[in-house]
Amino acid sequence: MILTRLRLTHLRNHRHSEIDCPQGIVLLWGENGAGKTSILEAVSMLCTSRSFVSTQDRTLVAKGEETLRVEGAFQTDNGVAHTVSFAYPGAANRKAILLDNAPLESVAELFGRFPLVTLSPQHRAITSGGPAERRGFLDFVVSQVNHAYLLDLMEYRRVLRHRNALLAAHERRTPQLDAQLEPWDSALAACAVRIVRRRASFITEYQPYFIDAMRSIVDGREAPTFRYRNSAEIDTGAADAADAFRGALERSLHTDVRRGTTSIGPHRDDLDILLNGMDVRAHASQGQHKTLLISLKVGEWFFLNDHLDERPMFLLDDVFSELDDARLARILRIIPSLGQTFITTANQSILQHVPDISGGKALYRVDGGTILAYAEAA
Amino acid sequence: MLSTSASLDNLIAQFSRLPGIGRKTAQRLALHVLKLSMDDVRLMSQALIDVKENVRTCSICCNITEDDPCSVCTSPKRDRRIICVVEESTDVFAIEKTNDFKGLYHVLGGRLSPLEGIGPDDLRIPELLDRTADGAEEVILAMNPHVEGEATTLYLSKLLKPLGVRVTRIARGLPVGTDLEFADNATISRALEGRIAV
Ligand SMILES: [Zn+2]
Repeated sequence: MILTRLRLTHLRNHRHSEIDCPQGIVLLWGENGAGKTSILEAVSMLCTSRSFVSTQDRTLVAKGEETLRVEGAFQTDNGVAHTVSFAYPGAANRKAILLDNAPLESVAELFGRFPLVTLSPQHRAITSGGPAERRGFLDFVVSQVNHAYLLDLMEYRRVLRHRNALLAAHERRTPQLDAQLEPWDSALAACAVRIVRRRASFITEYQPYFIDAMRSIVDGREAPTFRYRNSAEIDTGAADAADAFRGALERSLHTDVRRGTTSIGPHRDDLDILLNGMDVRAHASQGQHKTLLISLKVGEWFFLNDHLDERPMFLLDDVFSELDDARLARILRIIPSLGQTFITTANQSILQHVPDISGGKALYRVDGGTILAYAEAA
Repeated sequence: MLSTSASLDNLIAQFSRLPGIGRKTAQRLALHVLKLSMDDVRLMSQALIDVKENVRTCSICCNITEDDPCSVCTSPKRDRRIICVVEESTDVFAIEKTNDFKGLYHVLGGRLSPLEGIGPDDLRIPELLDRTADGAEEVILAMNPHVEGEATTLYLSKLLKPLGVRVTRIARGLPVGTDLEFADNATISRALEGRIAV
């Protein structure tokens, strides 16, 4: 999948910006705050229904304007054209997304159609931050390759909100509360087991991609591994896993009623990343964290490429400024084997190092929310 | 106030109280009423009063009716051993249209939804249990296929099974006329889950 044309209206500091995109590399160069990242955010909004920077659509609207709009023309690997448009606020003050001019019933329809991998400074927290960031990474990748997973996740979250509402409405455990929790616990357990099983099989399938990516970026035999931490502490591979999950809910019920919230389940699980058997959150150096994050994302690209019908797009937001020359050179060498790639940088000297590739390269200078064609090489 | 007439403002406010009617739609409806003839307006307001005065809920099945008990509950042609439990009266209309169901109904008046503060006490569950204990042989649970309908089905089945009655649920599967290749994944998964022997 490639984006052939992108138009932004009233997105952050962009009034009206429009660019043509070759199927190779789109390079966006400009000062900090010029509006480079907003262009990548726009691509992300079209492909995934949201920005990778801000979860609040309101903050994306240009100051003094009412509505933002992003429109993109895409082309599948087989040459079929599609359009996506994103507007905020639309009806009922929500985002309105049109796919080929028809409104989407659910953003779930978008997932996996326009596969995208994004690497931005926002993602540092995946290797160094709290569990929510890693769950977000897992859920985002698995949702793109497995639609049933996304539906399970949405159902799980809805059931969880009902269960938490019941817990919050009761001071202590009573037979009435137990009877009312029963159907929600049963639904929660069924969803939880399906979610954790899919996460587990994803981790197994994805790990070799992660290791390969890491070895292509740093020399050495360091092999990162994952360890899934199941907050319910049950074996989800077992045939009676749903019953075991119910048992775990039962054991934490007193605490849960007191807190008014559910303390175990996929929404509380974590994914440890280990390097030489040590948790990288506590033991990795700054340089190792950078390499790990890039490897996670490059691995994600190759994983998605193998599991989807379309080649994913790649967004690299301000990644190069933080890298030493050796790592930079290796990443630049990988880029030609990736799909259409969007790169932002504030560092002009990087521009000459970006390889010419067969898909073409377009260079734009971004300044004060305006995009200027800088040079174009075939 | 938006208009220069207190009566118009009042009508707009009344329309705005209806579900699904926003301020703008309410204004449009109110202005439309202004253009109607006096006779039409009398017919409309009488219809509102009639519906309140004449329509009640059936004391047996809780469906809306003008006669209590309703025509379904009193019909000698209906099979009194089967009770079909639905969320709302609109679901009864939908099933009646098929002419395929010959049992009785029970309208719960909603479904469990803790998020909206709807619990068992807000539904007509004791009435259902009384009727079931009173000679029913099968109770069909026909809730809508969302998480709340699902939870209601499970909750009711727990209460009904000890009464020694056969408890069934309607199948969830592919809509008639939908080819497999066009059905969404959830529908296909559920249809597979509910497969039956041929
Ligand atoms: Zn009746």
